[in-house]
Amino acid sequence: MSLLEVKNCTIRYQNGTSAVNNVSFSVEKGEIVSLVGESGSGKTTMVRAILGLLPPGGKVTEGEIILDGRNLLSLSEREQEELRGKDIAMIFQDVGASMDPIKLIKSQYVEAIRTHERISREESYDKATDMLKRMHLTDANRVMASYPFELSGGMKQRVGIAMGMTAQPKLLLADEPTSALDVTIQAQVVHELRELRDKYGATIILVTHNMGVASYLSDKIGVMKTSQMVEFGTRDEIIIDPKEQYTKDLIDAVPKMGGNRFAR
Amino acid sequence: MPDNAVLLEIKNVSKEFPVKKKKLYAVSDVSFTLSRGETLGLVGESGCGKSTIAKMIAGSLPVTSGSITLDGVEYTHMKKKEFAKFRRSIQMVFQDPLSSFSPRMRIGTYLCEPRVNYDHVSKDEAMAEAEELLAKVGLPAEFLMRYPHELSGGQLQRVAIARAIAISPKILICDEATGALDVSIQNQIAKLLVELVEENNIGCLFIGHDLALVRSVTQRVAIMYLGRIVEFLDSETLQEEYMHPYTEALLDSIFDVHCDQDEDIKLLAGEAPSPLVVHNGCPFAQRCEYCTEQCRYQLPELSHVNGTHYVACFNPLKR
Amino acid sequence: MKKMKKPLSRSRIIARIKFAVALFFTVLFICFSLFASYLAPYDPLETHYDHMLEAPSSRFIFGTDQLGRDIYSRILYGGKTSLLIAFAVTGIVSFIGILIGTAAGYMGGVFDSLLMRFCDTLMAFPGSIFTIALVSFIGTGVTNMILAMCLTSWTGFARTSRSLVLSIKNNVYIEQAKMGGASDWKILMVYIIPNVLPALLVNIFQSIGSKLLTISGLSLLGLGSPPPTPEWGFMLSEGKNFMYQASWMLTFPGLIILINVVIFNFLSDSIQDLMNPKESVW
Repeated sequence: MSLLEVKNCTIRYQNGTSAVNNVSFSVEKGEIVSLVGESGSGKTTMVRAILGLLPPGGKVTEGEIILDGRNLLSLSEREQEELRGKDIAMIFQDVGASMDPIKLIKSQYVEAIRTHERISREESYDKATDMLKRMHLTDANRVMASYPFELSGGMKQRVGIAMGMTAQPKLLLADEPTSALDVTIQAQVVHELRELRDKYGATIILVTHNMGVASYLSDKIGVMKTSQMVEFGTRDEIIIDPKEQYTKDLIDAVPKMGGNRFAR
Repeated sequence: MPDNAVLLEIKNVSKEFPVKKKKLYAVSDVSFTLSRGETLGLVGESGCGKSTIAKMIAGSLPVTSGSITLDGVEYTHMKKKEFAKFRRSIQMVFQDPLSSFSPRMRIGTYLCEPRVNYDHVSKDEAMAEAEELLAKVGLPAEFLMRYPHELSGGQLQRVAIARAIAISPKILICDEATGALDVSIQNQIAKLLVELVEENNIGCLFIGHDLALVRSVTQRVAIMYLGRIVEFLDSETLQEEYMHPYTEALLDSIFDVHCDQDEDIKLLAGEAPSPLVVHNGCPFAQRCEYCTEQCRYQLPELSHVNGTHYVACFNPLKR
Repeated sequence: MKKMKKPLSRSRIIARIKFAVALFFTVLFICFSLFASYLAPYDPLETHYDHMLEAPSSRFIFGTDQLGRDIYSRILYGGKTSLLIAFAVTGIVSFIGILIGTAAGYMGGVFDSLLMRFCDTLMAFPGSIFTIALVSFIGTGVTNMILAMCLTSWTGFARTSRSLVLSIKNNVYIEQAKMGGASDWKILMVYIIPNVLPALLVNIFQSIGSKLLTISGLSLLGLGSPPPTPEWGFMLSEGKNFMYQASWMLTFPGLIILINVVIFNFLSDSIQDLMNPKESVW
């Protein structure tokens, strides 16, 4: 049985427009699955629905989202809250913006751990530093004693991933986790994500517009276009042997180092 | 008489910003030239000073030292009134399409602005020209009456480009002009830019962080790190001829669509050091795997390799 | 990110209805005052000595005052004075305030600092007390009242518009405008003011309501329009002497002030809703 199964999911807004239309896909344990597509294709809305945090007015009108045998759509508000952070964690494009700017990382992190686990502050602190070290933030104590603005974008992103992974969620959702970063830092974060899966067996759904990153990280890729999933398959099926013209175009459009130049 | 081929010459330009009691060295001793019909790429990570250079060339930021010459005219110390007229030769296209437009101004009015302001042509005449401009960038005339929020990002960027070329500038600066767009749209805009540069025989400075994209629209690329240009390369042969370790790191950081999943990523350790500190040695020394004692204490100068290839490194990668 | 003509969301429709209702009542009350001479059954100054302090009846629907004048007619005529002053003051104050504030915000530097320190100084005095002091100093009367109110309340607009300008001044489109050859004056008039004005509309309409209150307050203290001109605040002032014999002399003008203030606040509120479409980002 798959860890996560999305079946014929349709998400509509109050005014009737659909953001996601009849989308199905499944994620096995220990897999990295990428949702790729251009802006407005519905990929972010899809993962938000899994997290149970659709923007106001949005609603899953049809279909099922099943995590480990539980239909997430039939959960109560409280059960959903419990689910978030414990079973499902999310990393956003700009982690810095989702942090409290006037609180030390230490207190935010420890607080986050203690909302899901009944352990002492000291234990939480140790757990946090341990997790930060796994994210290759070697000077974990200094990071813990910093304010968000004192950290660089890449560090914040790694703190965000560490925070998301502390509770060892069944599923990690990453919404454009590298898009706001410089290329060399992006490579570091991609490396971190890869290690999470290889070393710790994490299951990750990655939303990205960067085909290169998706191609490097994913076991499976779903291509989305105007609220629909045009193609879903293993990484090689999508990248090497795409069936849909749209997927081919998308791959061709990515600037490549050895590719043709427009300028003469 | 200045050399006809060279349009823009930047000589030893530096920019320092006062930050509290310290100084932030945004750009240090940068020199390059740009010819007619040429597109020069400026690549580097955020905070490396590439946008600061753009602003100094556009005249919206004064230089701390150095000179910038356009068509033989040094304009960094021009009087405000004189510069107001001179400014038309340098136009700029910015990254975020939507924020480049006043939300309450129609596209038509926006396009007319430069001609009306600089050449005092009548509104009707300018409007007729605006229609032609729209056609030039591949947009229908009915867009004249639209508001910015009614257009997509790619369409807005086309309009911004149309406005920039309306007064036939000598230099067009694109500061991450395609950075906020989807890849397919990005390519369309890149193509359009290349066409316009060729057609109008203007100079273009194309700033970006995506080396592959920048390479595709330029003839030469300058790689910047921490306020300095570390390597000048020919776009065509960039991948084969690069010699600077930082250029290598940038290339290694690109995830190719057809990459090998099992191959480990070559990581560049750490992050760029603070621009608030003066570095005696090579700015890249701290993160460079080929760093030697000399690199820490002495600043490597840009030295000529061959053709248009220059590199600032004591231990350039041999090939 | 293609924008299509989307059907209006519920909150938008509610905002529009709210605005329509508020606008309807505003216009209604303005019309009452404008056409007072047609609507009023009596001359507001006409005394009926045989009907002094009469309770509301079919003949005098809001009753009469101590001189037998019809309160209903006086309220209608009084609206003309009160609303006119409120509009005049708000108009002058917002024009001056916005102009000074935007100029200061845009130019920055010494001009900005000087102006803002001056504003701070003026704002250090409690507004209404300062106005009262000023009126008693330069003398009572409608013009003096307007003058005093203007002097004390333009600072609010200057401050708000300055901060609004600061928030958009560094926008890329201002930079673009400069490259397009726009002069400072043009940037101010074409690029900045049209973009800050909508946000200020809310303040402007709110100000009308609060000015109505100030006017009434001043008149109540006898610092406003001289008798016998009908004016809401002054009517209150007269009414308070007969509070126990003729409560209607106090009730009706008081009610009308209350209703007007509420309407203008409601109007500004609805404009705010209309301009802040809280529509989803996705």
